[in-house]
Amino acid sequence: MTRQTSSLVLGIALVAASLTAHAAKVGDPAPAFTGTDTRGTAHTLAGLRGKWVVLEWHNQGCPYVKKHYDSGNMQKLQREWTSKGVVWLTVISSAAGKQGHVTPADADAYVAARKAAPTAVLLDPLGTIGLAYEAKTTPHMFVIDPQGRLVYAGAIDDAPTTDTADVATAKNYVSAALTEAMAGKVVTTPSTKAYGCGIKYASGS
Amino acid sequence: VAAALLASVAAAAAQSVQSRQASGPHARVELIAAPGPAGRSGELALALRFRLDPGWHLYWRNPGDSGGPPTARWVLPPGWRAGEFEWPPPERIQLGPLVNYGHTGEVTLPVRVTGVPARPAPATISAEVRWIVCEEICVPGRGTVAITWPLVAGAADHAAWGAAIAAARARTPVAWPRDWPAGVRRSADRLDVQLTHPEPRRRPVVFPVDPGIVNDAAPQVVEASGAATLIRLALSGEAPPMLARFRAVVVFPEGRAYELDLPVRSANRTSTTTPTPRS
Repeated sequence: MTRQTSSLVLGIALVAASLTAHAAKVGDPAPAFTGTDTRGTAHTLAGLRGKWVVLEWHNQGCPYVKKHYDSGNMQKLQREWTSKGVVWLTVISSAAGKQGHVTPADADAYVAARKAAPTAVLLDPLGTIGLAYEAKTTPHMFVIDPQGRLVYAGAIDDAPTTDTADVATAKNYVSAALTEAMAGKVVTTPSTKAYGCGIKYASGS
Repeated sequence: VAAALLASVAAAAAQSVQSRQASGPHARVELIAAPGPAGRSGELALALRFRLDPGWHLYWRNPGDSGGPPTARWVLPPGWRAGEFEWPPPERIQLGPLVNYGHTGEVTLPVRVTGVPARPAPATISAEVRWIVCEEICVPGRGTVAITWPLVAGAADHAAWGAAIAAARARTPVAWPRDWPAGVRRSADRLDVQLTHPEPRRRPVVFPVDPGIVNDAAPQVVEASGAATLIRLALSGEAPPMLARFRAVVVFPEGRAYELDLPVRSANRTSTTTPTPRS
């Protein structure tokens, strides 16, 4: 019993420490990852060399995520950028038993029902990818260039609310970063504070 | 179409009945006012008073790693102006590896209204309030709350409202005293906040006012030496390269809360900018 308790405390300390370490910094190589999608296919960052990549942290129960799916904003972004060759990976880091944790079939059903269009949905219930990227919220967004460098990290847009009406007037940072970076320009706003629900990591509260 | 029409009629009817209270899952909010005439000052004290279910929290103006603060859109008679929320001292709220700044239990947010005539005709003051509350999961809420001013006698315990607003204001952070030396230095990855205050044994907690500067989840390392307390704050990954000033609320556990607004010195520069001379 005592042993279990102490290892639990250690586990929490390790998770906390790994989020406070400097991991994903814009301009640096993006953290390597291996993730398994809902069809059991593995995706590695190394394997995506040569492609632009977007990572979108997701929790279907989060009101900030609902804002972007109810308004159709996220699906529109996914269609627009995947049609331009961008690999769009939706990542779910909710731990087992926590809000947003889904089976592969649930995730696929959600994608179908919401007419979402990511390249794939990665299931990350141990939070490995999330902690490597210091992903804090849903939706937390990252853009990676074909050389594997992080070119944007932060909020999806500049309207940190749950109101769908705000999508129309918000400035979308992900589209702005992709537009500039893919045109060979410097990204004007490479880093912002993400907003949303805290990711429901395994350590719990 | 008929159902939608009915719904909109119902919504309009609900809006025309002005209620002082609104509620959402795990949170209720009401509009209260300090009684008495606005007086010569032309000021009126209002407050939004939230009551949250146990275990749930509302967010401070800087919410920390996730969430967001409540907002109010005021509708006031012409010439009246509502100020910002006067925020109570926040708490650090840990959620797994994340840290939020927020409030629990009963949360009173006073608001100063100016431009109020001494003897106004009865008028409606209303606010469209939006909020999000979280336990582990988060639920948004919204509603419109309204009162009539001047207050109508007998409708509610106005003296208790006045006392609640006064009690909230007594806890509102005050300016850091000018005769307590304080300084902030920035190095590559952190801010060092040096504070000299009469009770160096009390360990203050620093709450940055502007989001995205400090790594909210990183532990605040507090070192006391003599009369001075040094608090080391890790910078966030998205901290701007140039930071002219650092604004924060400093909370002493079981004690007062203070507002700091200090120029940020660079740790690379030498002696001429060394902070905190002994006074």
